[in-house]
Amino acid sequence: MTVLTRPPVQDPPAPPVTPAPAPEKPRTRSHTRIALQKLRREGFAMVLGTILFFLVILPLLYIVVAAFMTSVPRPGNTELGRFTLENFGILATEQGLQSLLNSLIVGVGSAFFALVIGAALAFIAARTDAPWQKFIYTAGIAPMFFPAIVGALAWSILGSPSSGHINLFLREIGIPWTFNVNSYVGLILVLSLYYAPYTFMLTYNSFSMMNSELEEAAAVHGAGLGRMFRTVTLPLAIPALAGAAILNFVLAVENFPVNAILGNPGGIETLPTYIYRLMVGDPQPNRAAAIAIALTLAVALVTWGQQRIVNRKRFTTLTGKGARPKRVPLRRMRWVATGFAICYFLLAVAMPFFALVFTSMSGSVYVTTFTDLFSRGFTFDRLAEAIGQTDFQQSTLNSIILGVLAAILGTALAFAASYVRFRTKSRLGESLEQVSMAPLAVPQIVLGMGILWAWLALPVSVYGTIIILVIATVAVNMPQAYRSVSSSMLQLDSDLENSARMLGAGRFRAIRNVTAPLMRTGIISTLLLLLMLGLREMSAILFLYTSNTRVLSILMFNSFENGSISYAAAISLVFVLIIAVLAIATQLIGIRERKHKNPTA
Amino acid sequence: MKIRKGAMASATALLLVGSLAACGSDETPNSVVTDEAEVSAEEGLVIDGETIADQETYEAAKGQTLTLYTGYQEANQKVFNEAFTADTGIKVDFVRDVTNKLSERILSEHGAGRLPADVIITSDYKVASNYKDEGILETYTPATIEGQDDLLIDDGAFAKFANVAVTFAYNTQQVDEANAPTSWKDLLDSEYADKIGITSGTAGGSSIALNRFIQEEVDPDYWTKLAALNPTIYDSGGQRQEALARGELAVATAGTAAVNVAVTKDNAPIALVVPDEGLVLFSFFIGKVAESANSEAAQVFINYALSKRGQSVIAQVGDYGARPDVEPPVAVGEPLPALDSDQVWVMEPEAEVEYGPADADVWKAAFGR
Repeated sequence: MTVLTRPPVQDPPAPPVTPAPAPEKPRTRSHTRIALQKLRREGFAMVLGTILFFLVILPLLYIVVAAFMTSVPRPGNTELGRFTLENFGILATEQGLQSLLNSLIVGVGSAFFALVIGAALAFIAARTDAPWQKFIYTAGIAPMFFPAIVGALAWSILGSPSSGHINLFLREIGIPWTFNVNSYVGLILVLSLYYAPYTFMLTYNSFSMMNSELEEAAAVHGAGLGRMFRTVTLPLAIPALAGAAILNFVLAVENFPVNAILGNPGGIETLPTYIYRLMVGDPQPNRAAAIAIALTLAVALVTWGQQRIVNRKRFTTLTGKGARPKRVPLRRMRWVATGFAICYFLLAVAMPFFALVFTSMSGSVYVTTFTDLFSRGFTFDRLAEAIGQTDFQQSTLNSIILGVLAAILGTALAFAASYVRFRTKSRLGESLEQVSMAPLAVPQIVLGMGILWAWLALPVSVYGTIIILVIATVAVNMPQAYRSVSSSMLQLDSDLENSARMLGAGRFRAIRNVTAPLMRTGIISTLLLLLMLGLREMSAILFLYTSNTRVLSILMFNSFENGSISYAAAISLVFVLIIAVLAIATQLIGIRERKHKNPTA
Repeated sequence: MKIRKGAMASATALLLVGSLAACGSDETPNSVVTDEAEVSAEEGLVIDGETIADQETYEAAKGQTLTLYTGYQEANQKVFNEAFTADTGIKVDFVRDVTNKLSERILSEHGAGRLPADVIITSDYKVASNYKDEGILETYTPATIEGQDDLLIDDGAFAKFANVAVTFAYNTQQVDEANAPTSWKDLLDSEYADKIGITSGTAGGSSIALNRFIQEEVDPDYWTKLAALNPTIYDSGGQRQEALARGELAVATAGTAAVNVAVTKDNAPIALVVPDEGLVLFSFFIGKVAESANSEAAQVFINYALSKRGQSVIAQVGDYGARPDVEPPVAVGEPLPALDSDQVWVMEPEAEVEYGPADADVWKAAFGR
């Protein structure tokens, strides 16, 4: 028998192994491609970084150099002197230490009271059933219409020991007590009054977005109002409260006009006024720079702490999903709460406003008794004369131009930086954020000096024009702009933009047609915020203005320094009017936007 | 509907502000300068018989706008500039700032090659001398003070422009005329404790002059004694005067021109004193910027400033001029003593450098600064 065997199956012959061709060309292409990709990814960020460098870092470098040298790094000064640490010695002098101490006292005091006042008002407005809710909300934010310098001027008129309106009134009704606004108490009072709105705004959102389920749970388990507040509500709000407190501290410590107007007659010198004196009165610019560095470092430390707390906020404060938070019934305390708001409004808005009105419109400039305020007649003459001055009109125009340009430029930069940080994979994103937030730690008056030196040396002829004022204003307000745009950008999910890009839109088109329109409210509110901040800017441009680029805030400060209080008061009134118009516009646009989003609401 | 209403409301409000600005009266000419000058422009510029500029210079200057950087009191500078423009037809753009801030600006701008000023007015001999050393000023002898070399400083780099008087004043509602202080030494009376106002003794020409005067003519321990009365030290003269007028202070050091304006314009309840030891004068200097854009206008301005007409404008504002042959200023209806009388003490420019720092140290030691 024949066994049929299959021929052994042979493995198919292995395909000829040809060595992979040395990928010379593709390798270079991919290297270049990678490099180009990196450039595309980082290019825009690098451009942005360069802009921010010239805006923020370069001026700071000049200040740092000045602090460590014996002579000033102004353009044309070929020799910088020698390196020295002596300048920092001024912090150890009696004056330096006293200024430091005063700054701390004023800073901590006003941070505390601004926090208490602002948070209390925010809670009353957001969570209680106190009557006149709309008024309470207005009272909480209205003082923002008063730039700190106007508030200081008004309180100087109200609270001077001999002739302040309050004291005239007290004398009239026979009370032997005098309120002296040129004191620690006065400084803390005025700073608290005008920084409370920041706290109000920060905590109002936090309170009104709180999920009341937790509070209801506490109530269901038997907690009384006080206990619930202490163990549930307050802890939830701590990130917002802490952030607000630190912000107020930083603002109070860096403040210049209030300290200059109210502190000086009382002999209270704080670090910013000391810096100003060393720049202007008794010129030792290197020492001033040293103090500025020390102040900046201290503030930077505190701000870094705030950033840590605020960043944690994203995880602890609950968002507005779920039911509207329940209104806490106050019962007998209802009118007390509203009364508190009324008191605050009187102190922060009504009384200062009338002080300005009396000073600019009263028949005679100098009064000796309270009744004189009313008996000498009223006249529009001085007000009209003030408004008719060419420098007043020019300053008003300059203020508006400055505000508008700074708003547009600042918002654009903030949007770009925020976009790079949160919507691209750029590795420069975090650095851009840090540089954008850096000015928060630098006293505005210091940044202004740095910008003077830095930008004079650059071959760009912006010095002496309003452009450099815009630059300084944008630089100083970069943190607020960035924060405002970012919070809006973070709320927006990137899915929508990504969908647009997946469907073929280029990045710019996606931004233009999807992201920006969705962020419209945020962008507009940033624009308006910057507009208001730009109108009020004073400390940063103190060294940069010329007589034709003066703005209202500078004009007011100059008039005050010249002793023309009634002119300063007249300017303040118009100033407040302009800001009020803007604020109302903001509110109306906000209402329109809300209607736009919820047509049925 | 709401939007439109809102927009209309905002627009209306802005219009209101705008119209307020528009319907306000034109910048009221300061009534302080009362007389008119006799101007003739036939053969060069001749004002009140004095030749300010020759034909060629004046023709060139007429088409220019002068840029002035000044440390002189703003209100006074405005009045002076207006008189200049009224008399010569040449417009003036000016930047006014405190001497030290102005110096920082000038030095920075000059260093960057971008100084737009044609003329600089400043106090503080040290500051002016520094400008000369940095090459900012060029030597220029104003035609109108030909031969009066004592008005030229540093070999003609700059000239004296005006002399500002420092004295003291009291609040008439708190101090009777009968008991009013009449000498610098009277200020050391304990009845004025906590009610005295001064400015910082380390800043500016007025402090340098006052410090020297006090050391030389009154009492070397004056500041220590005054410090014991706890005076309020103001950052600026304007604030100090306002505090005096409002009654926060009983007495304060004061400038004659500023008091003059406050009393005549606003009925401020303050009264000036010509002290027994004398009025203290410190100088403002005027210099021509080297290679400036509007050189002819600068020449006309400086000549005008030192002409009899220009100097009389300064006197009418309330400050002393630099020239002794001009009438002294009138403050609140009373003429002040003549420039060369012994009731007037003028700070020597060079002495500022010699004694300035030491005197400032004495002041600082007395007030714990």
